Amino acid sequence: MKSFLIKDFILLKQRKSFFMVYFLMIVAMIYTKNIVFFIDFFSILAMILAFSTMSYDSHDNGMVFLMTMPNARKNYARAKYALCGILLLASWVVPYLVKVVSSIKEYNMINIADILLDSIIIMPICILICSVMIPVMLKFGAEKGRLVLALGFGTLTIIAVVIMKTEILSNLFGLAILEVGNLFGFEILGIAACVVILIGLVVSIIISDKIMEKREF
Amino acid sequence: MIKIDGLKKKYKDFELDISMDIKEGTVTGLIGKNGAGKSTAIKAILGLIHPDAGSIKVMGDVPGKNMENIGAAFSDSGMSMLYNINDISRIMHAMYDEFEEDKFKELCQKMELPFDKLLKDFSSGMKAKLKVLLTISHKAKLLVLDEPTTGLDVLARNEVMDMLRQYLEEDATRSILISSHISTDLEGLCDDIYMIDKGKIILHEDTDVLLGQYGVLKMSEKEFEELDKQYVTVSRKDSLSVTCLTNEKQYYIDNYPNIAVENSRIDDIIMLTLGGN
Repeated sequence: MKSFLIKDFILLKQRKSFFMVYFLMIVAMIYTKNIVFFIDFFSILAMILAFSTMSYDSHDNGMVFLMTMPNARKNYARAKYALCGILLLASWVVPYLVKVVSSIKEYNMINIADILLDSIIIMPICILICSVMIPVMLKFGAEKGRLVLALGFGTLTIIAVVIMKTEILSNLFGLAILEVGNLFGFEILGIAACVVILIGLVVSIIISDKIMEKREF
Repeated sequence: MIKIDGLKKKYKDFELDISMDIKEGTVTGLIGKNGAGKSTAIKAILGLIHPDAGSIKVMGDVPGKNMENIGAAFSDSGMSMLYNINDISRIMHAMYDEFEEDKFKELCQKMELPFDKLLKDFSSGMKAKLKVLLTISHKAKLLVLDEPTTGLDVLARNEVMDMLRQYLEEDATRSILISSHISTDLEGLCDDIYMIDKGKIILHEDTDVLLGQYGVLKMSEKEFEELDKQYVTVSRKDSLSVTCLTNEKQYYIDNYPNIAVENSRIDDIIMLTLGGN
């Protein structure tokens, strides 16, 4: 897996435009108080970067050659999950470090904890995105995978809009969340949601392994 | 080294049905026209596709294992165009335990491949040389090359062939399976040749025999009717004459002095075998 990660990081260093945007956003972030937006932005950027490596791998029939490397079928998908994890972690740690260092007089532990609580929601969302995107892109290829996902998310959006517009359904949904939250506590609900997302990640990895085992190149 | 037994793979308009036996220390050519099944056979050997039936053993194991000891090159697939040679060297070092980084860089310099340019700026000759260089830089026991010289000029093709000859000289137990539709590449390198057409092996012979014992006979229709055809493998009638392929040209030289007997090249064998009766 390490070898495929190295391959991807070497590929990413070619994405100079991304790093330029990242650098400019970091500079902008130094002069703002609210870094939550930037952490969310960097997290999404990290996901896009990670998925772009799958597109590049597929260019010019590249997957055929890649799959002749040692242990390719087993390690290719897992390396993509690891890449997502590393980039996501970096999208958190780097802004915090930059902000703390640049505002060392203003910040204390309480403020950092507050920021942590505000920005933590993006992490499970990104894990969910990874868990869905990677197996879809592996199954359908990078280009078709994006189309499948756009259709899937589009359908979900339509269903969500219909639910929200239909007052009875949206009220029922809201009441259900309130009931469960009051029964178990909203913190427990939040933790349960995170556990479900992590289980989803494990299932996604298993599905990706199966896809890679069966796929033909 | 490679044992294929009754391998079947069906696609919509095509079915592969082959058996092959490639021994250790040999160079085997796989020749056929476009769409004959060469690439499908090679992909099956490398574990890139799953057979519908039959068995394949590569170095005693199922395809896809032992890739550390196999070097593969394809005419239409390779490393991402966004890498340069230094990047590729780092990647190969991470991928293969036995990657010989110094030797790889030395060979790249010898082949005049630029280290600082991205692959997308390489010429087709440079890309082809690099692909073969990658296969011979990690002490692979088996090379599987799918049309490695396609699109190259004669000088570049010779350079690639020389690289392969040198690779073989280093270790007598190394083997190569090389597919091509350029027969001259195979004549100078291969110990034996499989000819494939419409998914089936139609000829398998040692190269020495193909070039030494096979011959092309040219005669009139009347001479053809009187000919002893026991050593005629294929014949083709034109408007004025009949051309035959024989696997025992000496017999016809000795017994039919009036018939024109020519030495055959692999191209002649392909033309007659695929176009004759």
